[in-house]
Amino acid sequence: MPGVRRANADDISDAVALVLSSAPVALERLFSQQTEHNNYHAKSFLIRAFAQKAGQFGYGNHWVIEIDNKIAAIGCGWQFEMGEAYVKATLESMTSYYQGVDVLEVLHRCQALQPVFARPAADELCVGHIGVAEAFQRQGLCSQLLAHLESTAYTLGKRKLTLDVKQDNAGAIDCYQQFGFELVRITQDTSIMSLGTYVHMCKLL
Amino acid sequence: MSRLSVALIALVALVIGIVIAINIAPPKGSEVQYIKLYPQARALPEFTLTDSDGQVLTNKNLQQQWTLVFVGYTFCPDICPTTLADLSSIYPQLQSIDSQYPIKVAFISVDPARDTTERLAEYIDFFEPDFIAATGQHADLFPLVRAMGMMYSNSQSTDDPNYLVDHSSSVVLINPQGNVIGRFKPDFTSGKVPVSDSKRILHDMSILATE
Repeated sequence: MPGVRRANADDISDAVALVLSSAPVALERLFSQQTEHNNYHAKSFLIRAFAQKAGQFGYGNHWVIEIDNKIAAIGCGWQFEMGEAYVKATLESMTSYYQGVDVLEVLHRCQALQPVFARPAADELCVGHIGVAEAFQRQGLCSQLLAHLESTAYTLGKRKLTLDVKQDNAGAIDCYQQFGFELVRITQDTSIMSLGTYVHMCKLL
Repeated sequence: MSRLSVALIALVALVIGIVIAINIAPPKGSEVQYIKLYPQARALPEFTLTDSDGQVLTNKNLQQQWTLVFVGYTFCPDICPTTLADLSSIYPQLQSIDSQYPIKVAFISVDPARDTTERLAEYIDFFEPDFIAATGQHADLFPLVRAMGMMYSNSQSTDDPNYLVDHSSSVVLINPQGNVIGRFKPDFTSGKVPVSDSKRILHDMSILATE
């Protein structure tokens, strides 16, 4: 079975498609934006951001499984303290794509989602951007990625693995439950993006 | 005896056999379908909680009865009230199951800081006064909840008086020996609060408690 490896810049097209598939509606509503002078697309933003190593959407923060020269699965892990360079790079990825004050709108939307996607606690590793290409689904890749992130969490001395998933994403929830995640909280997005209901899941380590 | 007579006697015997089989040893209507049974029953650690009457509640109080246990907290905005309302809706039917041991429902609060005895009493009475409600110290609660196969954690700062508590939404089943045997996981039907389906609990309990 192919192993989990760090993503690199060459993975960009498959990887961005998979990141987008992990939360298509949320990412679209967060990062696509039409203004008087500019038409911004979530996919374009993610391609630019992934091309950089650092930052939330940078390739350096993602793990992938490659099968037959294709990126079959992707995921990442966030913790309470991601470091100054990470925050700076994430902001830069936004300011370099969204022109002038347009970036404020994006930041405002990101802020509005904080009650739904809360910052991980100090003892947690929060799993995100989990995407498995359709052709490779139901082959255990999701579990393989989670196992990798779980061992990362152990190495970092964390006590919990957590994640947020849309309540109607039955396939993903199935995988997470089988891996030992439990629903522990329900969150409703009440922002203007109307993303609906999410469930917060946790696995104690 | 003619061949026809032999055939007729054989047929009558067969019919009698079938009638006896159905009436004396009726086929099992069904088997449990929804509960996720643990590979083997798990013993619970020794615990001492306080119930909503201010009385001590220990392992002994969960023996000689079937107990459906749910963990949560009274300030819970969704999972707890939905689960307790669902459990109270099937409670009369649970009570009418012809079981050797009574079937009880217990709500264990994992938020002792806010869930006082009085508050627990008021809360549980709203759903079903017969339900057991109890809480205790985290030193008792945490290992107990973990042994049941569930979890809880305070992921938010308790400085905010409206803090939320993360907790499992499963309902676990304790057998009359006081051991946990399995759990009903939440049902993720779109558009509903994902809690354990009470009709499924009722279905399986009617089989488990009468075995």
